This record gives sequence, structure tokens and C-alpha cells, in this order.
Amino acid sequence: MKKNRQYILLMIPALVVSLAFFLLPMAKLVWLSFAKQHGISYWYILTKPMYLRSLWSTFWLSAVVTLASLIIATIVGLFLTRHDFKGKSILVAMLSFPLVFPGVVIGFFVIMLAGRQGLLAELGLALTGERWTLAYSISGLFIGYLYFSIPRVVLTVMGAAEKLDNNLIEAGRSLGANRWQLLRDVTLPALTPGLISSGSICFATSMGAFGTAFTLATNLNVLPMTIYTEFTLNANFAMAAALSLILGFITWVCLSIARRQGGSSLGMGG
Amino acid sequence: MKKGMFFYLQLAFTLLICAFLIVPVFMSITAGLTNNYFVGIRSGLTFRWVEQVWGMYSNTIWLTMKIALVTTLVNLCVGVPCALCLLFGAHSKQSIGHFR
Repeated sequence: MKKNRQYILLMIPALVVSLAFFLLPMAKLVWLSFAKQHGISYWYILTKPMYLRSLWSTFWLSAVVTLASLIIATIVGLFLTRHDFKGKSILVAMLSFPLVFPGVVIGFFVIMLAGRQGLLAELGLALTGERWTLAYSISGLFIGYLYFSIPRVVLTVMGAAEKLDNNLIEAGRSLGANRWQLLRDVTLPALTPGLISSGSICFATSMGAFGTAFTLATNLNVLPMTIYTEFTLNANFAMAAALSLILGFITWVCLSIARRQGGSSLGMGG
Repeated sequence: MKKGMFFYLQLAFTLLICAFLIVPVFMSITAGLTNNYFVGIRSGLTFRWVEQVWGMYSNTIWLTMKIALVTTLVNLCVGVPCALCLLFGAHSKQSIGHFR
């Protein structure tokens, strides 16, 4: 028992730090969000179209990004785990390389790809004589979020697919199942926990990513940008606090879903 | 295993995704080393921009490095004892929320 008590002492630094840098700011945030007219900000969020639209567009953008990266990552991840060929390790390295980039850099990459002087603009100029620019809109955000989601989901899918029991597939095949039936009835159900966990992490990150949105355009009406505008330009602290708490709550729910599915969470910075 | 049409379709798709991830990286590297980005690589390669960035922003870079280093140290000092406690302590079976 005495030995255990000594170990409790080791918790003290973590407790102090989390109290000072997590619990106190959170308490202050809650207090701030209710300080103005007993939390009228929450009522505004639910009723004013501006905030509601911001919430919905962020939600939908994140949902679409999550779905797209799950589909892409399943195809790529399954392909890379099932086949061996020359140069496969280079492909895997290329797919995991973007893990290191912060959100701002990814925003810059989107400008490189789809900005006014970007690759897509040049392509459009050559094909139709008009520059295609997607970067400074919600589709630019989509490209950026996809960029940082794909590597993480691909790695999770590859990890899950390696643990897949090959006997099940063989059994399915010997029972006469075709490619699609095997995918639908054997492979996908086995991958589901990994897909749910990495998908919810991907969703949470897309909801909260700030750097990419900030690099691309400051007038994009996604939730982190709305919080930023409320806080710095409108000095509406109560609203910023309420929105932050809602965003925090959504990401917390996502992360606990991911945790429940037993996925190791790859931390993301957007 | 025989490599059929599906193999090549999937390979093409994977290559496309890899290109999506890697092309912007190379584009920004060449943009950083090109004399005039609007003219393109024809205008020649130069380290001028790198030098200018270092001249103008070296303080920023050092500051960022310092912050990252200090954060890592604090995290280690806080996280390692905490992990030990969770691993060997009385409440090792309990899950305690993750500190971020």
C-alpha cells in the first residue's frame, strides 16, 4: 500500500499542469460563456442563421472529408497491404510523409495546387483558357483537410488490414464469393473498428482545424474561423467562449468514440 | 497471384493519391528555389529567397525552436512520472482522462 502511495506522488506534476492549463481555462470559458445575460450566446447560436450556418457548414465539410478519406484510404490501404511489388515501400513512405506538416503549410500546399498561380490554374488555362481556382473557397478547405486526413486513415487501415485473418478470405473464396461479396461481407466488417476510430479522429480534426482555413481565406465561415472573428474582431467573448465549448464538446465526443473502438489516436494539428 | 485489371486500377488510384500528396511538396521546394516563381523554373535556380528568409526571420525560427524544446521538456517532466504512476500505481486499472 505504501508503495502505491509513492506512485501517487508521481501524478502531482501532471495534476498541477492539467489544473493550471486545462481545468482553470475551461472553467473560465464556461463562466465567460454564461456571463453575458445568462448564456444568451447559446440561444443565439441556435437561432441566428450566421452561427447556425457556420456550425452546419463545418459539420458537413468534416463529414464529407471523413467519408472521402475513408473511401480513398480503404482502397489504397487494402491495395498496399495485399500486394507486394517493387517500389511499394516508396509509395508507403510518400503516403506517410505529409503526417509531419502543420495546418498552415498544408494551406500553402493547397494554394500551390489550386491557387491563382497553381497547378490546376495552369491546367485550366491550357485546356479551357480560364484559370481554375478552388483554393480560396470551401473546396480549397476540402482539399486541404483531405490532404492531412488521408495519410492518417491510410496508416490505420493498413494496420487493421495486416491483422486481417486471411483464412476468412480463403474460406469465403472457396465458398464461391466473388470480389465484391468478399469485400462487403468479410473485409469491411473486419476493418470497421479501425475505420470508425480513424474516421472520428479525422472528423474531429476537420472540425477544429484552424491553420489551413486561416491560410486560405479569413472569410471562410467555418467554426474555428467564426470563433476567431468573434473573439478578435467583434470582441464578443461570450459568443467565442460558447462556440469554443461546443467545438470542444464535439471533438471530445469524437475522440471518445475513437478511444472506445480501441484505436490508437494519431494526434493531429490542423 | 495473377495481376489482373483490378490490380492496375488500384495501382493507378494509389499513384494518383500519392501524387496528390507529394506534388505540392515538390512544387513548394522548387518555388522556394526558383528565381521568379511567376516565370517558372526557366528563370533559373537561386538560394536568394532562402537567404532572405534566414535574414528576416531567423529570430522567429529560433523562437519557435526554443518554444518547441521547452514544451518537449515540460511534457517529458510531467508525462513520464504520470505514465509511471498509471502503469504501476494503485489505480492502474482505472482510466484517467488523457491530458493534452
